[in-house]
This record gives sequence, structure tokens and C-alpha cells, in this order.
Amino acid sequence: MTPERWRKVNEVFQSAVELKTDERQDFLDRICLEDESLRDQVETLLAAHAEAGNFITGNAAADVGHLFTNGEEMTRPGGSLGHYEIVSVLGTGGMGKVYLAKDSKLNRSVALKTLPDLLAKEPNYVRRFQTEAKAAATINHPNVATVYSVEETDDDRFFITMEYVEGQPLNALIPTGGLDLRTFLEWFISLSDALFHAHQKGVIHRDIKPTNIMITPGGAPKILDFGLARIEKAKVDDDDSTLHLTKTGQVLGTPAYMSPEQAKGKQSDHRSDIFSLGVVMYEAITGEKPFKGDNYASIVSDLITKDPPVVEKVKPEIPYLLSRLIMKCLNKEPRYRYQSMNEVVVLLREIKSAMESGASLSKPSPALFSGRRKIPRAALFGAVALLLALASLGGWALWRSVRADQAGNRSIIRFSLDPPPGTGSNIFEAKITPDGKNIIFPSRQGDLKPLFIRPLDKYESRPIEGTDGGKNPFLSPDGKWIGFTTVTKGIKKVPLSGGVALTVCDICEMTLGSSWGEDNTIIFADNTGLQRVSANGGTPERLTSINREADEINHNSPQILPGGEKVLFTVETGKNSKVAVLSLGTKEVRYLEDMGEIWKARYLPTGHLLFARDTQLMAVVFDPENMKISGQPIPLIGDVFSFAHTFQIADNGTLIYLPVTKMTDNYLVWVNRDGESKPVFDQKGDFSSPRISPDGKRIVVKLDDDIWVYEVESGRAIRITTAGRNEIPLWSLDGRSVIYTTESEGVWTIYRKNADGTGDAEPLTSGPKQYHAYSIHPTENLLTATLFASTGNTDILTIDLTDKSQKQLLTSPFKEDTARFSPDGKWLAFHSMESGKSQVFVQPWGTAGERIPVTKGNGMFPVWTGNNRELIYRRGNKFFAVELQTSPALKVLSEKPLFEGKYLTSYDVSPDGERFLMVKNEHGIFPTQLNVILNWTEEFRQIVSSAK
Amino acid sequence: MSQTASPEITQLLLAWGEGDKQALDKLMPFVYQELRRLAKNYMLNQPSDHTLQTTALVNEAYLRLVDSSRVRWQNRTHFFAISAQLMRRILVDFARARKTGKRGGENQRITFDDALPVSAEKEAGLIELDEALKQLETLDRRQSQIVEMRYFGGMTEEEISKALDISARTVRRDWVAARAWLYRELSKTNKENDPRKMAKSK
Repeated sequence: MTPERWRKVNEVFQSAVELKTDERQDFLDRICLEDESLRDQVETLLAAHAEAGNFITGNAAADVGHLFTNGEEMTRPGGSLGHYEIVSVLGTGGMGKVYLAKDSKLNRSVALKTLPDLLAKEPNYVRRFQTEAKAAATINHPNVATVYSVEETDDDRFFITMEYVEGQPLNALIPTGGLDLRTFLEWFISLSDALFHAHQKGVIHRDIKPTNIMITPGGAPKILDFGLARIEKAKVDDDDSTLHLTKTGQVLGTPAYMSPEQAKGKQSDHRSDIFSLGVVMYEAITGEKPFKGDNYASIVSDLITKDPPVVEKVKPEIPYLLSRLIMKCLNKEPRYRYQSMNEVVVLLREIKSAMESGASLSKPSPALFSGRRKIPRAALFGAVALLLALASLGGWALWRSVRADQAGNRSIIRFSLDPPPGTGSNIFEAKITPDGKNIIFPSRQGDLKPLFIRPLDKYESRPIEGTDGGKNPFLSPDGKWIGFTTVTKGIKKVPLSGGVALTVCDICEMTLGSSWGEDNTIIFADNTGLQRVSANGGTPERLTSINREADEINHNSPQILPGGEKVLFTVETGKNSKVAVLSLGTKEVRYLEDMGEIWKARYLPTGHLLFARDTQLMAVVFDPENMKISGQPIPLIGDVFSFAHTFQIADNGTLIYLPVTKMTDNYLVWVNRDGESKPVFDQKGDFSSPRISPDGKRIVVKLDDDIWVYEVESGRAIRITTAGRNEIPLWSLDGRSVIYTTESEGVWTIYRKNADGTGDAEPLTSGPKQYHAYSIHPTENLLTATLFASTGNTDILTIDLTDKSQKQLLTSPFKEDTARFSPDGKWLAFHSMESGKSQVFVQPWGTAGERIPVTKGNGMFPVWTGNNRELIYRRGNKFFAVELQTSPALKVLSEKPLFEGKYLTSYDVSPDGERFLMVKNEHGIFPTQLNVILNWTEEFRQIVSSAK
Repeated sequence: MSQTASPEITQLLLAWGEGDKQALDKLMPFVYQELRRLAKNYMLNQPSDHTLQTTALVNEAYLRLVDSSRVRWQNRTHFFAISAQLMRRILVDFARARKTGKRGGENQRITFDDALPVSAEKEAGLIELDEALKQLETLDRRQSQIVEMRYFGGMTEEEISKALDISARTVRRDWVAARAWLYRELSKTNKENDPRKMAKSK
């Protein structure tokens, strides 16, 4: 090329590159005319520009600065990182180095992957690295190289340890002409199953390729580097806004296994893994890569524009069904691929069993169905099953609905639904769309936190575009729009199918419920009362204000009643909550008859109010015209988690609600300081409030309504109590007796009884007041107890164990509880709401001195360890250890996080401070699944008519 | 090495700024020495994987070599422009030396993909980039200078526009074209050679 020619090419390129992609063709048509070479020059440059990503956008010295150091590295063979001894370098990846290392604690080989120091300095990157690696660590599958740990050294070096897999990468084992069918099926059933397993946990690989698949000497495939690929790729940011590839991350490595959406830099999901696995399957069975350009640019261009030759054309002996499966994975459009890796697993298994049953699958399978050949019966069944499996879900649904309509059948179907995995979904805010076809889940994890939609006819949930950070979702009556609040304040709406979020109003950070009326106005409750705004946007108009004088806390859960003239809502006060109706015309509020402690009421077109009280979903007859309830409430569903507003009915009669967690699945566990847990014994039941005996050999615990003493070693158990409801036990100092609270017919008594169950229970308190004992002073023969006042407040008092006299200790108007003496009796730790938040305080005992807060943020349930200087407390599911200095002045020396785990509130610590006794419930304290009842209104009709 | 600004270098820079072409030839070895020394020092005293920032390096060299009370801003820009050229030479020289020197064995490729030793890749990439840049220079000298200043010299668009006395918009447009050209040429010359290994590493 001559400089003159370049000037021309350059000029045309510079003009073209500034145009929108779809305008470029026209422009080139006009400019280049017959000059094909000019056009070719410019087009190749445009392609190069599009693919160049971060090419030389950095700084040469930063890219190759290591040249100055002669390749010396801090981490080398013979060195160590934490308790890992580096054995050798396995490789260097885009993200850092991979070493073979020895875990000196567990004496096993691990692959250790480091994060380069320069990335370790970027908090966002590190957070992402840790989150992704932790997510990957949850994958436990025989065909995935396990991520063991995510670690950080004292000098801020980050690394993860993984299972060290010996063997050979898949690419080294694919012979010319491809794998034999049997090996292929064996490996890829395992691999697709492993990927399905990961997808269920919300982890997407994003870099599936033969070099990331190891075949162990035993012949088992293992997927490496789970969830890590994305970290490498997500971390690319470019100031050059004209580069469209870089926004979601330029990809390192070969593009040959990328999905088209990845290559285009678009958002990709688990279906991208399905594509990549398709590429690997194609190569493994045929020995040929489906996309094999000469260079990066041509591979990417093929990937995006060209369909590879059909598998059975490349290798005619491959079963048609397998060819079809692979080609479907390779569809350019994610929505035309299999929608779940599970479909791939199922189909591969079907092919395998058809093969094993003796069917000749060596010829294209259409012959299998033509009847021209003799086919073993079993093979035919396999093939038919396969065909059925291939028939789309849509076809089946159609069939079902036709049948259902013919029979007029409205079957009641109950099932539970998991929120979308990996989204930290706020299940309390789940919503069902009016047509009953979709469930909306807000998310709490990840950077964007969009609302997710789970169509009930699909397995997968997908984020709704335009709803990033969305909370408190609610739907328009026609179900076409979804409204939500955002962290940046204000109410927004987007079409349910996703799109650009439109602002409805810019006040209101969160709502306590919203209702979208037929007249296209939205009534929402925020922390000031009810307001009304047009769904098309505007300034909200106030409807009600919270009356603080009347002890009102909020107005919540509005529902516009049919006709649009009245609004049902709940008023929460310091004492109770009341259901009220607002007349929009007169702004008059009328309270309904008191129905007890309820959180939300919903009007049903059958003329009922539906509400949850305690754990019962109930209905009562309601006349909206006169705003009156009549008759007795009818119980409908038990075990409803009523402390949330989640129950909801769609127009088609589907009910969703949250079930209460079954406490009978509780069990006791020992947890060490690293958070590793093991069950104390096998028994499950309604355990709570465990305490370790002073000698560490026994446990006293509440089980159901009784107090039990267990011998740890033998598991032998003695029931201490025989009547009433008993709770909150603790040990006497000598371990010979236990102290606990008994409630019987509204009377609460603290008793002391021998720990071997003998003798009578000795009452320490009497009267109607509710006390719970927490701690005994080591020398003064005193007990601390929490007193529950009728106002809901709690105070702390002491009870003299000799004369049973009581003394008030902490009696502020704020809640104070769980007071525990230090083992030496010199300090008292307790939980208090005095500062407006939940905090743990320590104050001297027996000497003068100030109390100090020992938790910076929230904290509760303090427990001393044996050395009198260390206090454990919890904040939610996180446990912390605080080290105290006690002289010359009381102060907090340090606080360190210990571990995180879902355990019930009360726990105990062994005297040496090394073991924690916890109560575990796999389901956690809060519901983790949503219950769905299809055609619930049928059941409701039946119950209501039989109640008459 | 000089701990304080060198009167000689300052003088040379001023002379060059006033149009004395020979002054540049005399200036170069000093700056080359200093940049090289600084770069090496810098990298050896940092933890591994630390990023070397050309801008910081050149700034430090400038402070060490030039009495800033005597030179005007334009001269500073000129100094940066020379430094870009020199950084290119220093880095390419290092890469060549490494390529011909000890090789192999230090990084075994076992299980992990992308396991090609990154450093070797980037060294090779750097030499090829240098070659391609020489070709570009024959087509469009200004574009090759812009790449040199930005990628090797760590100069900002604004600084480049001052040094070359053209608008920032032109710098930007030329950069985009030059980068696309280089990327295309590098993809073409060697299919094993993926130009993206010269991608920004952070």
C-alpha cells in the first residue's frame, strides 16, 4: 500500500467508523462504488476495530514491565502461600498463575490459582473474584474440579485452591475422526450433568472448551475453572466509547468455543454454556471444529454468521438424533437452543439407552421410524420416548389445556417453588402476575439486582430488562406492566417483557405495598401514609397521613376495591393492626371490626376478606359497600408464614404464600472457629436454647416443650420437665442442677431442678410475670433474668438464689436482655436497644464504671469464652469475637469475624472458646420456598360452602 | 546517576525546543539511560505483577534530569514525546534480549489452558508490534507517532495533541484508525499470534 492509498482508506474508514453499524453498508455502497479493494480494506479495518477490544489501549510498560525483572516472581517452587507449599507452576492464565501446591494442613495436593497483585488492589475486582469463587465452591459434583477455598494472605494476596486433577485435557484425547459413540456418550452425559448441576446453583462456566475438560487416568471427565472464566472477562473496562465489544467484557483465549452472544459482547446466560458444550461435542464426535477460521476475526465472523456443516454430513455414522441435538445446541439464537442443560442430559441418556438396547444407531435414524428396517422393540420404545421428549413443552401444554377445557376440570395442584438460584431472591416480595402465569422475584445479589421473572411454564427465571435494583414490585391489572421502587428513589414501571424504565414519580424510597387500579392510577403506601399517582407519571396526591399521636406506625398493603372508589389497607399501631377502608371521594377512613393481629387483608370477588393470623390463612365475609365484616372467620390453610405480606391470589385462582419453617427439623451441631460444623448426634426435633455444662460433657436443651439433659459422649438423654411449656434452660455453677422457665396456664415460673431428673422442681419466682434466666454469678449466688413487660419492653433484674429476692438492674424504656456474667464475675454483657439499634454492651460488675458498647454495628446474643476477655456475639448469621481490655479502662481491643452460618438465635460456647454449640435447621428460620396452589379458588369455594 | 536536575540536559532540551536538531541526538542517551535504570529499579523493588506506569516513570525521569524552573511547558511535552520513543526502544530491546536469551522450561504447560507463558507471548507480541509500527510509519508517520506516544509513552490525548500541534479530535480519529490497522496486520501476519495479548493487562 502506498501512503496515498492509505490516506484514502483511512479517510473512508474514519468516516465509516463514526456511523452506526447499520448505516455503514449504505455509506460504503455510495463511497466505494466499483472500488472493491477499497471496500475490502475498509471492511477489514472495521472488523479489526470491532474485535480489537483492549488491544494496546493500556500502557506498554504495564503490559511487559516484567521484562525488567528477569521474570523473577515472589511465588515460586519451594515458596509458600499461607499453609500451601508451592511445588511447581502448572500454567499462567489470563487471571494469574496456577501452581501445583501442597496443603500442609490436610496433606493433599491442590491447584492454587493466584490473583495478580495489580488486580488484588482493585476492590471491585476482588469482591467479584471472591463472590464468583465462592459460588463455584458450592458446586459439588464428581465431574467438576472442586473449589476448596477462597483465601487471602495477611499481605492481601488473593488466591483460591482447587482440586488438583491429574490426567489429560480432552483436546489431547480426540482422535482424528472423533471419539467412538460409547466414550462420547459416557463423557458428555457426565459433563452435561455437571453443567446442569452448576446452572441450578446459578453458576455459569462461560469458558467451556476442551482444554478446560480433563480426563482423569480413570477415564472420568472433570470440568476445570468453574465460574472463573467470567471473572477474567468481566474485568475489562475501556475509556474508548467507540469500542462496542468492550462494554461487557472482551474475551481472552480462543473464540472458537464462544457463543455468538459472548462474541458480540452481549449479555450471556447459561444457554451460552449450552452453545459452548455443543461446540465441544461437535469437535469430540467428528474430530473437526465447527468454527475454524484462520484467525480470530474470521472465527468470530463465522461464529456470528455461518452455520457449521451438519454433524451427520461430516460423520455419517453418527445417529441422527445426536446430530440434531448438537446442532440445536449450536443455534445462534439462545432461545432456539435447549433452554436447560437438563434437556441435553436427558436426551444423551435416551440415546445411550437406545444404543445399549441394541438398536443400530449407525445409520441416520429416520430409517428407525420408517418401518423399512427391522428394529428391536426396545430400541423403538427408546426412540419413541425420545420423540416425546423432543416434542416441545408448548405442545404438551396445549394438549393439556384442551383436555382441561373439555372436561371443565379445574384440578387443585400444590407445589413449592425455589426462588431463582444465585439471586439471593427476596422471597418475601415475590409476586404473581394477574394471569397467574409468572412469578416475580426481586434479587439481592449481584451487581445489578434486577427483578426476575419465572414463567411457570419454564424451569428458568430471567431478569427483566430495565428493572435493575428494583424492589417492592407490583403489577398493572392487565399484567402488561410492572411497577417497582428503586434504590435511587422513586417508582418506575417497565413492560413485563422488559424495556426502558419509565418514571412514575420520584418520591418514595420503598413502599409497604402498592395497588394499580383499573383507572391507571397507582396507590402506594410509604412511610408517610397512602398516596395516589397516575401510572403515566406525575406528582403524587396524599390520601392518608400516619397519625403519630394515635400511636400509628404505618399504613400498609393498600388494595383498590372493585369499582375503584374505595381502598382497603392496614393500619399498624404500637399495639396492634387494624384493617381500614378509605373512601377516595370523601377521604373518610373507616376501621373494620378488630380481627386480631393481622398483617394484610385482601378482598376476594366472592365477597370475602382473606387474611393471615398467627399461622392461619383465613377468610371472613365482607361487604365492601357497607364496609362491614360478618360471621366467623373460616380457617383455610395452616402453616402460613404470616409475618410477611406475601400471600396473593391471581385472577385465574392461583394462590401463592410462604409456608412456615418446620422447626421439627432442628438438630444440634458443634461449630469450630472456622465455621466447620458437625452434628452433635443424629436426633432431629424442635431443639432450641442449648447450653454446655461446666464440665463440657453434657448439654441442656429445650426439645419440643420440655427441657432435656443429654450426655454428649453416649447420647443418653434425661427429660427434666414433665408438664407445661418449658424453655430457656441454663446450668448451675456446679453442673448438678438446671434452671429453666415453665409456662403453665399463663403463669411463668423459673424453676431449679436436679440435672439427673431426680427430686422436685424448686420455684425461684412466682406470679404472672414472665421471666427468663440467663446467667449465674460465680461467687454472689445471683441470677440474671429478663423480665418481659406487658408493653413488649424487656428489662433485666437479678434474683438472689438464696432468699429469692429480686433487684432491678437495667430498667430503661428500651429493650434489654440476655445478660451474662463473665466467668470471673467482674463484667456483665447484655443486649440493649438503648442506642436505637441492637447492640451488645459490657459494664463492670461490683465496681463503678461506665458501660461501653462492644459492637460497632448491630449485634446480639453475647456469650463469654472462658478467659474473661473474649466475648462472642452475632449479627444476623455472622458471628464475631471481640477482645476486651479490662484495665486500666474497659475498651474493645479488636473485633474479628469468625464465621457465617444459618443457625437459630440462641447458642453457647465451650469454656475453652473453641467450640460453639448451635441449633441448625437446613431450611433456616425463614421460608426459602414459595408455595403455589393452582386453582386454589376451587378449594376455597368448597371450604366456604361446606362451612355454611 | 544524577540525583539532581542536570544543567546539561536542561540546556539540551531548551536547545532542542528552539530548533537545534543535534541537541536531540545528544539528549537521547541520557534519557534512555535514566528511564531504563528507573524502570528496572522500579520493577525490582515492587512485588511481582506490579504494574509499571510509564507516566510515573517519565515524570520521575523528567524531575531528575530537567530543571523545570528553566523550561517551559512545551519542552516538557517534548520531553515526554522523546521518552515515548525511548520507552519503545527500551522495551523492544529488552524483549529481543529475552527472546534470544534463555527460553523454555520455565513454564511447563500442563492442564490449564491459556497456559502459554504470558510473558513470552507478550514479548513476541511487542517485537511484532514494533515491526508493524515501522510499517505504519511508512504509510502515516503521524499515526505511528500517536501510537508510540499513547501506548509506549503513556501520554494523554491532550498531551499528544500539544506535542504534535493537532486537535485532540484528530488524535482520537488517527488513533482509532492506526489501532485497527495494527490489529488487522498483526492478525494477518501470524495466525498463532493473537494481537489481543497486547491488550491492557489490568
